[in-house]
Amino acid sequence: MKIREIYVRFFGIISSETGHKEIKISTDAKNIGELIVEVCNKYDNLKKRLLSSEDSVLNRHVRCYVNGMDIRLIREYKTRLMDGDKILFLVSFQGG
Amino acid sequence: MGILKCRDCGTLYPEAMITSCSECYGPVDTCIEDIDRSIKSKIESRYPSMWRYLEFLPVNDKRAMDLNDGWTPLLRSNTLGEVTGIKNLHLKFEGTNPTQSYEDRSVSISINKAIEFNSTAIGCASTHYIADSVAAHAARTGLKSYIFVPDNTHPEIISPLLSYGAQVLKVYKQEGDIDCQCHGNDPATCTLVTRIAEIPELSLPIVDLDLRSYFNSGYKTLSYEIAEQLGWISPDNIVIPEGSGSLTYNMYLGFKELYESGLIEDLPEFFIVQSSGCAPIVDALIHKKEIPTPLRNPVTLCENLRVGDPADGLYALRAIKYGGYGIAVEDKEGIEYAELIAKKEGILPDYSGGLAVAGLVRLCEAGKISPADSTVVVLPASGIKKRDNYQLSPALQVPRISSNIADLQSYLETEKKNMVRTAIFKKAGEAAEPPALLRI
Repeated sequence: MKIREIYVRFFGIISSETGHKEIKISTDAKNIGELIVEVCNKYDNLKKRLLSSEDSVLNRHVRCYVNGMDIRLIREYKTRLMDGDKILFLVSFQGG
Repeated sequence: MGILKCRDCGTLYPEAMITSCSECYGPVDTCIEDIDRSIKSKIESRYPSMWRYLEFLPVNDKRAMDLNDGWTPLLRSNTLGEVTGIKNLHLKFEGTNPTQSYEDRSVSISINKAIEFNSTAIGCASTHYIADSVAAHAARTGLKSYIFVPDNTHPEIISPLLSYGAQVLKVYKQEGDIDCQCHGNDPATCTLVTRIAEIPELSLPIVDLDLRSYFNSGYKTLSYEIAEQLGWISPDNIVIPEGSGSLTYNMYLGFKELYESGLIEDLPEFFIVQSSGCAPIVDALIHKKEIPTPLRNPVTLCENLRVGDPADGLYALRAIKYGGYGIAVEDKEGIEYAELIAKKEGILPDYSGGLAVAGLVRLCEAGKISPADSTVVVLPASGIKKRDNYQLSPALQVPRISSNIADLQSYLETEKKNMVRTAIFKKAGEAAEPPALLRI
């Protein structure tokens, strides 16, 4: 079992659920799907908002980035994690 | 005055700068208080600008500023009606707004709200319509404006912003920036404005982020105006060039508010037109997805439509569910139709306006819009605004002559010989051909 150090940042309204803007997690999660579950288990309030009613599926308004890449544009929940990866959660927004 | 309501779970909030619902993270909309038909005469007695719909707008009576935004012309088409076969076709031309685009409506409301919230500065990340509008409206109010642009932004874009006194900041990329497909598709500016919202003590609200709920209500004023300009009647169809889905959804809400207030008796159907290089909403519609799948690196010359991850796509699809459809059209056709509108109607829309009319032609061909219906096409901005965009147009191959009058005479004689052209197509069925004037 390989332990990886992952940096997780919470932008905007999400950080108020965790009380932190950034945390470092030592984890054996192999992919982002497993990490999301781990992060949610760490913060009860976050779990009910970050995940949709279907387990382990992100709320449709939440975006998750791995090293700046939207997971929906790569391998979604199966996106593999590497030591030192930077994860970011934020609520979607519009712009021009 | 006024309250905010989560679009998804219905949670209510007092007036504040709220970007998302704290319960479900859904978007938050402004709500109007009960309004009935008696408001009509009051509205009609006011000065013609979007502010005549004051009771529908989330601002205090004593608004701080006004650049006479809105009340743009709803022009009955002379020629495009023949092209599409639609007899009752109107063009809502947003190019007569103070900075020549529909974004003036939303920026104007946002800046008034910023002042109500005691802000002394306002910001945006944009190289396009929102940037111009923020700079102009901030100048009018005396607010300091900060415009964040990508590092490689062309001086032609920056120059007018500086004229308005805006502080323009080029933002260069760093490792780990968000690969954003929604906020102008620029990772560095997207990351920065998101982080600004993280630090309230900076007191720099971003117009379409921190003030998003109020910003969106500006789009509704297009619906109020269209209805009033048609004699408080809803058209059968509205055709909208779309990027994020916000314009469609909020125009739908605008008509719904009029309907619920008893000011109109029907709701229009909404038709979305996207560029084929960036059509996630239309793709979702065709493939019956609830939520559009984001696109990486969307490609379109219509900058205002280049939104790979449409934040309001889901809601635009809901608006269409009540009636309407969507279609994707090649940029090339949008350019051609923008030129055609200019030549035949006397107004020069931006590419997205051309795209909307191209989409209308296709929708007629596909039988989605009936020629017997009354239809309004939204032309979001003036094409004069971005002359550099027209560099691909064949019309830019301008002949050169000397100051010798014989040169002019010779040119005119040659032109006369070449003037035998095929007529512009007249029936919807012939519209698959590009406009003849562009095939010279």
